[in-house]
Amino acid sequence: MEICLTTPASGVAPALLAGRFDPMKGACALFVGPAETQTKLTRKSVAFPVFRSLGKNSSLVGSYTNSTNEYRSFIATWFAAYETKDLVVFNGKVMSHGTLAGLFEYAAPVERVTFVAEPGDLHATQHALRSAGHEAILTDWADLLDRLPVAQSPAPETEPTYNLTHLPVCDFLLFRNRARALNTAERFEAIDADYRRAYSIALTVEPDMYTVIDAMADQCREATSTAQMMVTLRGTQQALLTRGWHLAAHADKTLGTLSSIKPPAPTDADWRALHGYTVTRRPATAALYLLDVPRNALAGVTMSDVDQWLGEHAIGGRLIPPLARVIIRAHYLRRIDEGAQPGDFYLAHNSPTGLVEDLTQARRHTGIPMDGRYLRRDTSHTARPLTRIGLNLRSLT
Amino acid sequence: MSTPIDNRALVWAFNQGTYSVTGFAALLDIGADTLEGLLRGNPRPEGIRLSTLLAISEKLGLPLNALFPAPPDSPDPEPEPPRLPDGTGTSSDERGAGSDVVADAEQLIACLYADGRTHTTSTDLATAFEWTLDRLTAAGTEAIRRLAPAGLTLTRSHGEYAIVPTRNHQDAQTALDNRHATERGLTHSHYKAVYQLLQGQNVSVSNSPVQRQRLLGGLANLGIVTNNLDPALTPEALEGLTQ
Repeated sequence: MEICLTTPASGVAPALLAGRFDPMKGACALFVGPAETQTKLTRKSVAFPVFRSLGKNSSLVGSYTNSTNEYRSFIATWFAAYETKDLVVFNGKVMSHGTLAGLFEYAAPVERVTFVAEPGDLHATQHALRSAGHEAILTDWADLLDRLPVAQSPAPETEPTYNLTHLPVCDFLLFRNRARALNTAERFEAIDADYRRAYSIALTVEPDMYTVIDAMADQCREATSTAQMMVTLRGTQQALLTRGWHLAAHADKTLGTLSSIKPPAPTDADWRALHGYTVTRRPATAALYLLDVPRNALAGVTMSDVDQWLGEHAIGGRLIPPLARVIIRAHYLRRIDEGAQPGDFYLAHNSPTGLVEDLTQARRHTGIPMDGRYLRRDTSHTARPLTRIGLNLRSLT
Repeated sequence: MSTPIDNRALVWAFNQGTYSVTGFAALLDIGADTLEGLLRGNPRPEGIRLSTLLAISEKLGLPLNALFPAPPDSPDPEPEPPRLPDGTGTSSDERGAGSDVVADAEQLIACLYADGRTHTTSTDLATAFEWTLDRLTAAGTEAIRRLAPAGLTLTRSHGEYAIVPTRNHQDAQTALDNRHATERGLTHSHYKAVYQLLQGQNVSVSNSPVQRQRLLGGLANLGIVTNNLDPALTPEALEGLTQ
């Protein structure tokens, strides 16, 4: 690893470099906040900004902690998976001996760590580095600009207009009213369009449970988020009530059922959401699922299979998008660190339950429609549809 | 402590007119005692209700922040003492006292916060931590400063330490409790009753009138029917029907 130091002639360094960072392009920006000067800055506390520089989402369950060695060790894995060339550290002058040692340990796979000093702070930063026993190479500002080309602004993604956080948690009788009261007009319009469609279809569908499920699944075929499924469910429930039928639903299980009978159609936004995870196994499990690896073959995927897929950039003829490739590679490197041999399992869950659990949890947290229900090996409750598939249709008359 | 309220604008406005104190107080819609105190510059901004300040600023046509003095310039925080080039320079020895208070405050907050609402005496704390009471007091003062932005404070009354919210959020808490108490999941019978109401029939879900009233009361609590005695669907529930 090369350690460099540079400073702009004038101006605010982060503003001058805005738009040049993207972990996918191998350039990360680490902001060491001034607040951290007030308390003891340790290798532990510096781990959090480093996770942020990698674009990790701390509000995702499974990505919330930097307080164990195990979680912190994922930093180096991700740097390696992203093939990070440049890590640019702002405000590095406040970092102490121990913090710098921690940072260099995390950033071991990075090609070059550049400390960017604000104009006038060059010597303070140099001093901080020297006290930790590192001599930085002074480089030109122009050289840094050359290394970090301005990222082309990506084409505006067609994001779903609403997600699960916009939907009210209440009985279906009040769903439409609460959705209107708790959302902006445009958002409600998008929700209501789906609601009305489900409502009008359910007014004519034959009141038989499997026909109803088929009708709902038909409407959700193109859904990119579980939120649309939820709205479809609510509209259907309400319409069936007016016809004298009560469609009881366990919301989470229903979303699982509807997801499991729909072919996976991942979008860029989905892949980006999976990039929010700190741990590697859960997004890797989800990635293989979304790339249409047969569900019952997921647990049997070996390291050599993955090696071959990564070499071919494809799984069974289906191209692996670059965003997915990083996720799969991250877990591959992780497993190698754990000492896995080519014949070993790639995902290495302790049990089939662990695999199902990873898919279910990832669906709950990211809203990507996926489910591993066919991998569940339970024969209980077959008589109770509400438990089995999350839905039950009963007459009200 | 903060500085007293900036009453210059108020005094100026009072001197313009020919009002008595009581007349001016009536104009501003505040008590004469309060006005007298304000003119003397007695109360501090946090001692006056916001509605009073708002009334004053509205009647006099002043922006609200004209009543608050500008904050004094605070000196820059001390820079970290430089280390020796060989890395042996000790920063902790030199700024020892300052960072100790911070660490102490962290420890105090952690212990009290984990303890919930139980009040713990200063003696217990000092004994457990093996601190002097002076050190505990200093840590407490630092803890108050650090808790303030989160809307919390450390109370030290009669030797008991506790972390409590700065403002009284009792109304909000009551509203939340009420919601938790009245909102229950609906059963098949509830939906049956709703269907009968939709069809314009009488609700005949339960054989027992008392049970029926309780069932309708549950729906009324959720805001789905108007009341339990003469039930009808509310506009909120009817909104779900799109046709």
